Amino acid sequence: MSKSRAAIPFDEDFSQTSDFTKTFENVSPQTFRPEAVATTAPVSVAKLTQVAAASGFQSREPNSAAPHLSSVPGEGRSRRPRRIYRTGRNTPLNIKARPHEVDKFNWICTQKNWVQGVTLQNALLALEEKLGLTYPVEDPGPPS
Amino acid sequence: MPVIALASPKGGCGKTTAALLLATELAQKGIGVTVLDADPETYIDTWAKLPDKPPSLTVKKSPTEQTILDDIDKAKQESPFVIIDLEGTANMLVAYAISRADLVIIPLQPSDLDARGAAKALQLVRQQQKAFNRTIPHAILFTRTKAAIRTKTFTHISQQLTQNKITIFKTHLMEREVYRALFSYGGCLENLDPKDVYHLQDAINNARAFAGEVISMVNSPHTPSTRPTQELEGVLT
Repeated sequence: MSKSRAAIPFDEDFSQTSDFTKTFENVSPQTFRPEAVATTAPVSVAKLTQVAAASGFQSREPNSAAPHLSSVPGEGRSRRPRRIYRTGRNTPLNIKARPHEVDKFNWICTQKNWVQGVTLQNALLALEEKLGLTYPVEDPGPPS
Repeated sequence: MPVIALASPKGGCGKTTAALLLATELAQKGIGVTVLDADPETYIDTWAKLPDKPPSLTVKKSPTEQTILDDIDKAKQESPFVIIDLEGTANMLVAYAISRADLVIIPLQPSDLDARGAAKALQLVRQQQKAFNRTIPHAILFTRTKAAIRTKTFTHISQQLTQNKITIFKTHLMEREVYRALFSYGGCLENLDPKDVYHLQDAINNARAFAGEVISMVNSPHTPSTRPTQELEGVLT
C-alpha cells in the first residue's frame, strides 16, 4: 500500500463531471426508444466459445445446458439406443424335483447351450408332440 | 438502443453498484430500463423487491448461457436501455453479453487485483473485436475512489491505462455510504432521506454525472475505445 498520499488533483478531468451532470439533466426520455427488431448481428456461438476460452472465459454450466457447443451431427457424445432382447419369460416356476432330474435338466441345457427357460419350452413342445396333445391357448411369443 | 454490459472477472469491483446507479438514475427520469441480473447472487433482483422501484425499471434475473442472447434481444424490444450485471467470474455469460453489447463498462477499484481482472475483460473485448470484426465500445470506470486520497497504485494504474490508450470514464464512482444504503432502503438515491445518509446530494450528482457520461458515450458517433486495446496482462503490475 502507498505510504504517501496525495490529494486528487481536481483538474480538467474532474471538472468535466459537472458537464456530464448537465448532460444527464438535459436529456429527454423521449430520445430513447426500444428497438422494433433486434439489430445486432448474431455471432457464431462456436467461434465465440473459442474466443472466450482463449481469454480464459469458460462455461460454468453443465454441457446439457449448452447444446450449441456442438451443432455438427455426430459430433460429441450421443446416447446409444438400448439393446434389449425380450423373451417374455418373466414368471417364476418353482417346483421340487429329484436331484437326478435336476442334474439331467441342467445337463440338457449344457449340451444344447440353452438357458433353462428354453429347455423347458422345448421339453413342453416335445411332450405335446409325444402325447398328441395341443395346449388350447396360442403361444404369444416374445413381446415386440 | 444501447445494451450496456458491466464486466470484470474480479468480484467486488463495483459492477452491481454501478449497474444499479445507472439503472435507477435513468429510470427515475422516465427512461425505460431493463436490468438483466446475471449474477447468481441476484443482488439487483433482491433490491427490486424493496419499495420504490421506479416503474420504468424492469429487473429480470438469472439468464443462462442458453437464454441470455434471447433475453437481451427481447429486452431491447421492451426497453431503450438494457443493462447487464454480470457475475465476477470468467464465465461464458460474460462473453455472450459482450457479443451483444453496445458499451462495455469495466469497473475497477484502484487495486492491482482489480486491474488484473480488468485486463482480462479488456482482452476478451479485444479478442471479440478481432474475431467478429465489430467495434465494441468499452471504457474503464474507477469505482470506490476516495475523494481526498490518491494512492500510488491508483496513479500507477491510471498511467498504465492512459499509456495503453484505453478509455477511462472521467467520472469516478466515489466510495460512498449512500450507495451501499441504496441496497438496504430500495428505490432511487432521490428517494433516500438526507437524515438517514450523509452527503446525499454529492452522491446524486456523482451518479448523475456517471449516467450522463454513459449517455454521452452511447450517443457519440465516435464511441470510446474504437481503437484496438493493447495487451495489458503483465503490464499492470
